[in-house]
Amino acid sequence: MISVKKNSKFMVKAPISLKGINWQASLVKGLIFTGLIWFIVFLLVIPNVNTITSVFWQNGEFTLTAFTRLFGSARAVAALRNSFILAPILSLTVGFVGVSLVLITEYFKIGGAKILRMGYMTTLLYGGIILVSGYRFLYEPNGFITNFLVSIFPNFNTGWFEGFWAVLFVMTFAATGTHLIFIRNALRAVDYQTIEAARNMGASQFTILRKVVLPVLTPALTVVTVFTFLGGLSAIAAPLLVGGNDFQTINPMILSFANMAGSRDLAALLALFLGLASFILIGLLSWLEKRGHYLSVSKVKSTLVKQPIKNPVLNVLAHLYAYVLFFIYVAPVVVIVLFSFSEPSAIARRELSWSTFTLDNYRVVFSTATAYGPLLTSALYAVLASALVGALMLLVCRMIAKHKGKFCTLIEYAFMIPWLVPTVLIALGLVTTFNRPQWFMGNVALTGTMWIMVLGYVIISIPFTLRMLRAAFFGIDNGLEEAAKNLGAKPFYTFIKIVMPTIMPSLMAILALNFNSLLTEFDMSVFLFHPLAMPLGVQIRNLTTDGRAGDSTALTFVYAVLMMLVGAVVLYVAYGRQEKERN
Amino acid sequence: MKKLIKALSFGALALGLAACGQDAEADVQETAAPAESPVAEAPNDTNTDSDLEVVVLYSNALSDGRGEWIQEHAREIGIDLQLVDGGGVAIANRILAEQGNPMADVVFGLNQLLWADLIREGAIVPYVLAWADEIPAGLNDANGYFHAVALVGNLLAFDAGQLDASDAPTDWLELWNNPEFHGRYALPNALTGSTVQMVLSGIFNRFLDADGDMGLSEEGWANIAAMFANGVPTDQDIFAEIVNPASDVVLGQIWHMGIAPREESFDMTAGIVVPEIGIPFSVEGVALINGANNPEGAQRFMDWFGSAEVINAFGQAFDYLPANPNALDGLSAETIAISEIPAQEINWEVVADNMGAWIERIYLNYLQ
Amino acid sequence: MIRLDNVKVEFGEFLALKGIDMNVKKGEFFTLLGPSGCGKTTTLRSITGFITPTSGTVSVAEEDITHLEVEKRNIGMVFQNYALFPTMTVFENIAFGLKVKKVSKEEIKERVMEIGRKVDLSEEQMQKKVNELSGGQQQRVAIARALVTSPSIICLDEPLSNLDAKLRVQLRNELKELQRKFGITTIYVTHDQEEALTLSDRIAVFNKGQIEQIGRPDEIYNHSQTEFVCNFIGDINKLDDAFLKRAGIETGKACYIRLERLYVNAKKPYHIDFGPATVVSSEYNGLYIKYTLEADGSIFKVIEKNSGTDIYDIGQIVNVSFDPKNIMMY
Repeated sequence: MISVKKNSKFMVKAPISLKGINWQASLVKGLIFTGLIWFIVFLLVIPNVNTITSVFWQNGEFTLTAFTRLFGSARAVAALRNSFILAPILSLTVGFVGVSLVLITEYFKIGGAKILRMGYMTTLLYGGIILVSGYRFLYEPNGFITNFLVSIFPNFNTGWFEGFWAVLFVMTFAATGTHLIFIRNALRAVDYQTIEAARNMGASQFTILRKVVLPVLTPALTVVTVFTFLGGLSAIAAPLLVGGNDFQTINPMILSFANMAGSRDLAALLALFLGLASFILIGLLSWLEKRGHYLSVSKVKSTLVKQPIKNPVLNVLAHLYAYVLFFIYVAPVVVIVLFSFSEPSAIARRELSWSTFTLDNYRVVFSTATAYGPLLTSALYAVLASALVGALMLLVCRMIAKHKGKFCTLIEYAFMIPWLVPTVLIALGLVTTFNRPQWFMGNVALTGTMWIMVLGYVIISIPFTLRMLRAAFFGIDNGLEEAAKNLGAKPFYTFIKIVMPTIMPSLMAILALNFNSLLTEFDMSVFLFHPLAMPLGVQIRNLTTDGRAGDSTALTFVYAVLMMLVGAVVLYVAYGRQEKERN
Repeated sequence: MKKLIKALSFGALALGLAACGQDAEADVQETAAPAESPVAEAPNDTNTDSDLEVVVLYSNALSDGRGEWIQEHAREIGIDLQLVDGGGVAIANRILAEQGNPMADVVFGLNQLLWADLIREGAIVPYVLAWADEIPAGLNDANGYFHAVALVGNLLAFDAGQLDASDAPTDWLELWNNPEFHGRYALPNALTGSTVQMVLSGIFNRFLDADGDMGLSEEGWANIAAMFANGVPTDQDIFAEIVNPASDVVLGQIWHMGIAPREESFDMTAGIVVPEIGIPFSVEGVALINGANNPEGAQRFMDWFGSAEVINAFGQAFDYLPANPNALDGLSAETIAISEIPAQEINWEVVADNMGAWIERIYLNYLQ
Repeated sequence: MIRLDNVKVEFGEFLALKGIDMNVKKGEFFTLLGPSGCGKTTTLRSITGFITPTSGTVSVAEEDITHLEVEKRNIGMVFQNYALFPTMTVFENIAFGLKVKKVSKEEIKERVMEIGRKVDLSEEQMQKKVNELSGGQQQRVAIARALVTSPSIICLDEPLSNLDAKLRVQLRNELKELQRKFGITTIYVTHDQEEALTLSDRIAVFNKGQIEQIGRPDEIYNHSQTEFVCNFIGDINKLDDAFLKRAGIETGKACYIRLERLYVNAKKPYHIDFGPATVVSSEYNGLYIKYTLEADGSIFKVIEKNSGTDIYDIGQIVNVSFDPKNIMMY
């Protein structure tokens, strides 16, 4: 039945090559290795060496003053402790809420799942001070929700939204965005037949969830949990705004010290603590990843069918839970959008009414001569940097996936250096290292060129990109690559045709998230931008601080709303459309 | 799908490149053609205008159209000014970081503390300007490193609607030494801003003690501790905190040019406290960058910009208080009033040297 | 055609292949048979190049390919889980190898459609994503993909293991037919001895990283050289002491006899007469019937063609005899 024309003109001759090593491939490999080592040594290590050693060496002498200064401060110690309290607890709460969001929108049959999902995804569009401000407008002593609660329970404690619980609350909801992308991808890999099989064997819905579905999510969940943990350690906006006296964390201090010439060693020391914690965690994660990941072994996968919740009481509760969360997610966004149309005095007094509605804020932003120049500049930089960091990390992940060994592990860890050093200090390191021609940069001084900010953006995007991409790489069936090779495809071709399409959804999501966060980057940009190309982050900051426009909150909100729009478009283009194609 | 991705990425790149072009163009155009500029008619020849020499200006004093004003008028003396705008600390840090390969020619703005940093690190070089002698003694740097262009008053202000002027304190120290004001004054929770550092300079200066802990007397540290223990830290605009009816806060720091716009946007009247000892004035100056690419252009720009005539016009346009007493004509009554407030005498040499360590100590021990 | 000389593969401490020698002839259907973990897949992967042997050589047509890259070998392969590219359509999957070889578009189309027809994939199916196909269809895509580039050798790694019985037999036949017709040298990995016996020209039986025996199916079956082989291939009775005593055999070695070599009520002159035994149970299989017999506490099985008339009942006493030549001793 199957037949092949043996002597047909299509006969392809196998290339004849005798035993020995393919020098071409080795050359390429060697070049790549050299390139990576060059990058690590000269762009990651050398610029940051001064920063890190400044903790121990000052004026040519070994010193521990940074330690004594830091640990002599009750405030710093408390902040450090708080950071380490927040991070693990946050990992738990975010994990719970994040997974529940994915289950609500993807696994269980919940009415209005699409709308719910859009609401939950709002945290991908804004963050930091703006997000926390949004929550604060609702829950602070004269916030809208607090007022509402007081009107029902007159004895309600209006100062409830301050301290640890407030920080935990805000950050829990703020950090679930990545779950909606990466856990969801993982959930989609669940083979529906395994669920049917479990059901057939009499497993309850809960058991199926716990024993069949969640184990498949574990690898992705581990990665996002590490990010949550790190997010908790480096929390800045939430403790600053709603932490109150009792719950300040370490990162605001790091940021302040990093900007003070005499205190940079403290910033570096504090950052080292956070960085070491991160490294330990990453080590743990790598170990977990090695221990086991669950690839679906099914030959014929069937797509997930949404599960109705059988127990009517639980069903009602689940819907209730879903919509309460929806409200929590959407309310701050609504407040920010409304306030962007309000007079500054109304924002200060927390009033929302038609009488204070104004388009002035938008007019101010758009009439500023440089309103869209910086947006375009930043967009270009963000696109370029995301693309570069994406390409670079693809290479690294590929290498890690192919050559497991101590050397590769070392390289992988080296790429985590940007997590060890605060962004401000990375920027300073770059400027001071490259403000003169360096032989290893082809004798070109990078400082003052348009390129140094691209480099900076690439560097600060490395850790997130590497971790997320790595997780995606682990999901690739090795057999596919072997099959391609067997059919005669060269490694590069295999990579482009087989590996890339498989990781494309994750890659695009990562690029989009990088793009969105680089679009308004400030800490680094302010040191690296070129006089002719002011980026958006700096522009917003200039417009909104020390200006004479009075209170700048309204303008900040206008920018926030505009950035949400841009972010939404980017996410849709990078991710949403693909989803559609896939469905 | 891959076609789509290809198309998208090419599209994005093309868009980006176009943006870059546009951006640079926009920037140049803006340089060339602010609304009322006579040069506006011919924006296209700016790129090739070889008569203009490029000067790069770093400044923290360019907001609200000031940058555009300077740019526009600098063209009249044949200078194409490129601006780098940023916060005072960021600008100073950037200059220091770029020392090996300076991008800037001139720096404008800052304050005595930041000037001291730049001088100490050798980032600026002395140059005696044409109008140096017209500036009152003590404002210019004694060695000619920087020259005073304008003064910014750093004040304690309050909401006159919530606090009667007769009940207001008469000096900063009263805020924490009089329990009546405890919890009623705002403090920024970031201490890197210019205003707060000038206010702190004014307070530190009263307690200088060469034998004391870190150069301050015990009483001084007690005051600092009390200042932060009894104030309300805020991350938002201090006036926004003051007018918020839900908060007890009615007092806080403000730079003098910030008062009027806030009175307007918050629909309130501000009162100001004038201590007997005077208020700390920030000296916004100009200085030549060490290793500037275009030192001649920079000097020409400084000689021109600080001259009584130009700085007066600039002051009038922006309610800016020129340091040159010959340039006060036609300024608003409010600005004149500020100029009449006595300046607190501050030993900048000592204060600037220690400021970093003091602020670090506040961060580590006193800030709430 | 394919020759392995003393091929050793180590995974860390573990010696996966302990020195494999084999020589596959041109056009031969050669099966690597053995239980899981015996080294048969490792051997296959050494041939395709996914594994580089620690020592020894692999050569094809007298040419040493031990260190040649996978993609240059032009050895077709069908993977156990097919390894179809999920991001591509059926057509794209099959076309992949041709595209890699830079064959022109028209030719690709022609060849893909041709092979598609041959493996019974409709044009409509060709445009589907592979995960929309059934298991059998997926396998046919995998085979088509491996064959479309006209390789001189094709390797199949348990390609039938996940299919239902009927489909398995059908595809097995198709495979054999294809192989016979065009003489593609085929290396086939399976743990299913029945599959091996029906398909193969020759079989290599693997155990613990070594080859126990190489031979034609009948040689392997009738003249198993090792105890392992005779146990692994086909149904067999290990003769216990009670049986041997009664049959009057004394060797001191382990003795085996295949089920069908015990005759029921059909004694031939050269047979040893074992004597009466009781039917304990029977297993009806359509084509044949398998009986479990008991005699003097010795339990053994026999297999009888289903003639439709001579069916024994449980409890019935039957006479058993055998030819002593058929006793295998180790």
